[in-house]
Amino acid sequence: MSELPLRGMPCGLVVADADGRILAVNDRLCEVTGRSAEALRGQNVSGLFTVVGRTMYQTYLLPLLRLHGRVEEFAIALRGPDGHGADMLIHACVDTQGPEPRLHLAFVPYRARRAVDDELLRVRRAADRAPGMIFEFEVAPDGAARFPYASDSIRTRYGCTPDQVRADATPLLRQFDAEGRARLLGAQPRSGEELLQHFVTQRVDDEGGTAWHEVHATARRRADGSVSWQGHVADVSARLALQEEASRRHAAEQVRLSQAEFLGRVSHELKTPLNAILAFAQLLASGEPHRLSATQLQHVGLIGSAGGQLLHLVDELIDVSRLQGDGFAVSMAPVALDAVVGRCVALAAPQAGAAGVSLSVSPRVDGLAVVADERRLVQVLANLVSNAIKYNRRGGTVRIRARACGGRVRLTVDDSGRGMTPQQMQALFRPFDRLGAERSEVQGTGLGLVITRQLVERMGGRIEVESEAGVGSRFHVEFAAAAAAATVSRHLPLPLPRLTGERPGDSALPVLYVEDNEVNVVVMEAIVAHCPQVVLHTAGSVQAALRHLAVADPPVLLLIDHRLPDGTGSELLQRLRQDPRLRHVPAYLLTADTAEEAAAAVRAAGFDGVWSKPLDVHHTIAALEAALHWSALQRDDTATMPLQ
Amino acid sequence: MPQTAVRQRFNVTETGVDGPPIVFAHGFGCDQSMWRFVAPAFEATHRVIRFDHIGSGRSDARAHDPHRHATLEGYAEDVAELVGTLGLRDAVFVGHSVSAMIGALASIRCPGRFQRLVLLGPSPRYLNDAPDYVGGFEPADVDGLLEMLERNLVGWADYLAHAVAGAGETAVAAELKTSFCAADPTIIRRFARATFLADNRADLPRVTVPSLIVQMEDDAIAPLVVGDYCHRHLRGSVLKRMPISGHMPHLTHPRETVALIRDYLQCTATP
Repeated sequence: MSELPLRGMPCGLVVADADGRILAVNDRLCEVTGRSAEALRGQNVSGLFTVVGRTMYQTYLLPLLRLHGRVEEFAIALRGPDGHGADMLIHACVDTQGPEPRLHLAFVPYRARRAVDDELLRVRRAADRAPGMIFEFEVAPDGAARFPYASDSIRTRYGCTPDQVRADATPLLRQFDAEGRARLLGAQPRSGEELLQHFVTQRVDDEGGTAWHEVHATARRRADGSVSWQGHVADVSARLALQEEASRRHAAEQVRLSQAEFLGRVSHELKTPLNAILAFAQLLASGEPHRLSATQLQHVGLIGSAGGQLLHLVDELIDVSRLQGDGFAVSMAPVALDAVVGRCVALAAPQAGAAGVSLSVSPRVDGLAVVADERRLVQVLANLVSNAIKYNRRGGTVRIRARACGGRVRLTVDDSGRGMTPQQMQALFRPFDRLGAERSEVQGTGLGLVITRQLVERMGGRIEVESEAGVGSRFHVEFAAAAAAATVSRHLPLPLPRLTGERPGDSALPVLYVEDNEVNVVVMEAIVAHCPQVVLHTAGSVQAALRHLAVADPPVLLLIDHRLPDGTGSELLQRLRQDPRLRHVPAYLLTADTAEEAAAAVRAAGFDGVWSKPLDVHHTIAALEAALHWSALQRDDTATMPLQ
Repeated sequence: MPQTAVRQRFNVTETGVDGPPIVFAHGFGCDQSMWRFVAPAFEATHRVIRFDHIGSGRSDARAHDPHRHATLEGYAEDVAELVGTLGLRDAVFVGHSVSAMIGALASIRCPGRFQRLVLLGPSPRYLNDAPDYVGGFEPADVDGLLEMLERNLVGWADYLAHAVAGAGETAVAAELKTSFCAADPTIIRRFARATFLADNRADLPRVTVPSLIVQMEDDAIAPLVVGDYCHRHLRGSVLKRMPISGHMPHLTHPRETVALIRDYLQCTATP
């Protein structure tokens, strides 16, 4: 009997002997495989399957049957009549009741359940690939905790297997800090409530390394009183570190900006009255339009020099403040020493002459170059030279020398002055400590060397002192040597050709000065009085300037203060440049702010240059005339422009 | 690594007498309980060692390394570490299915540890390599196999974990139920990939340890031509055919399997 007497069953049935040889099959199985009962009898069961099905049968199904005696719901594939696979679920058992053991196999179509399985497998694959761990977590009423489900990354993230934590969550939970554990174990959602939890917990691994893990999950209460969570946990240490770093940098930047803003305002506030003091002192001393008596001239001279000292102190204080903060920038470039030394000597010449001290420069200075910030290098050298002259004697000497050695250049300023004792040298760079000179008639603040040393160090250089009391002192500053230097000195004005002859319309040149401080306006009016061809118009704010320009002829020169009550000078210029009549009018920014901020504003807004406050009367007059000539050249279509 | 750690990691079972060591390595699909009917036969004469590959049976699944265990060489490293730590010398290595190849690779690493190899249903490569090499499987078959495995393993791990003990079931049977094939599904899937995508044909000529090849006449996983191929390329190999169907002679025909192994060891024993 090869066909089983059960016709019309919805599943395929097979009976085989212990060796797997088919004894009987039912009609349904014949239908699925396309073979008759007679043909199948005596064949091995393994021949019923596809290649894949046969492999599963021999590697998995048979051993399971041998050792367990039964198998249920095993997915397998029978070979159909055309060779294609028919997906089945197999239920099998070994029957040992009769004289000989028998294999009973039942094949049920695998369709509806397959759809569920397919979905499950898809979700599983996606969950296993996710970078964090997806989980279901459960706390029983008695407090026992486990993970009914944990995605595959539990292995790499927590060194546990899904099997392990399915029974007991402890191997994973003990890696979290007490707070995280308390959150997971202690949540008590109310009935019907979905408690959303989002927290970061610290996790300690086997080697004691710590990391931050972020849990996003929902907890709800089940009917049996247990609490069930579904969610996700990921290692966010890197992200947190980045965020922390970003906010730290932001905070530091805020501090730096507010420091810079504060110093800018302080500078402005201090230098505005100084502008009046120095300018008017100069104007009075110039003797125009009214000559003063000798005594009055002397008094005016004292006002001027006191104002100058005050200015010097203000500059030093601002420098010290900025050097202490983070915002002090130096722009390093190759700098030719001869230009720098030449400038210092020019600056110091009047002081040397007045003190009766001779200044000399060794010829070796020529041809040497260093990597430094040119402006600051001048400041450093000027300070050293000034000190060398101040603390000297009538008929004494100050020598400036330079020497190259092994990739560095050493500048030396030595003097035949009073020198210093070892104790005094120790205190040399202490702020405001003037080493006894405060009891002399020599002027000074005691800040100069402090600033000098900080500037030298900011430029990557070194400063050294040698001194002998009663003989003299020697200051060395050393910088990296530069291969070559192209110096474009920003301090020397570009020489402009002077116009010869009269030109129609050369008188009554309108110049607009935008400035809100009345004293500064008065100063400028007094200065401009020396340029009879200029007519000065003023406006006290951005709005006032715009109103003026809406009705007046366009000026030939714009002088704009950096700080106006309703905006910045840069903002005003940007608006003015949108007017085609004003697009090419030369514009200068007037500011008491430091050079760096001013330079940035100039570049951004399209000014042609910067005038620093407090204004020096003579420089301002010269600059005004140069600017007017430049403006005239621009307006003159027929003139050629040889620019040096 | 000390012995206790290794024993735990591979769930080593040691029985028998203080004699020449014989190591039983289960094949793809289950664990050392497969040797239940064969290994005890050698306990009177040998030191019998059984173990579980990482991810199978009750080995420490946490020792699974996705990179190391991506190829059979990683499993061979495990075996070399195991025999080295246990201090085995002149061992007989009995490997079934993929463990036959794993044993062969281990013997290349440390030939001094092994005296003889017994290879049940070996194959150096399962994929066909036209026109000359027949491994028995096409790439689509391997894909289908991995998919079917995944389908079954997902269900099985749960089923076995919650299997209710049948009436009258002995402790032995109950213990078998929970340990057998209750493997880690993810690791088994990777083991299957490593097995079915391996190509160790070039390693066969490098094996210096003499071997017995046991070939089943109707074996879907290691067909006759593959056994012949192994015999041709393994130096000092002996080929014995079993007139049975299936891939698990140690389960389906344990007596015959024991006899084959015993005969081989006695005949080739050094005088």
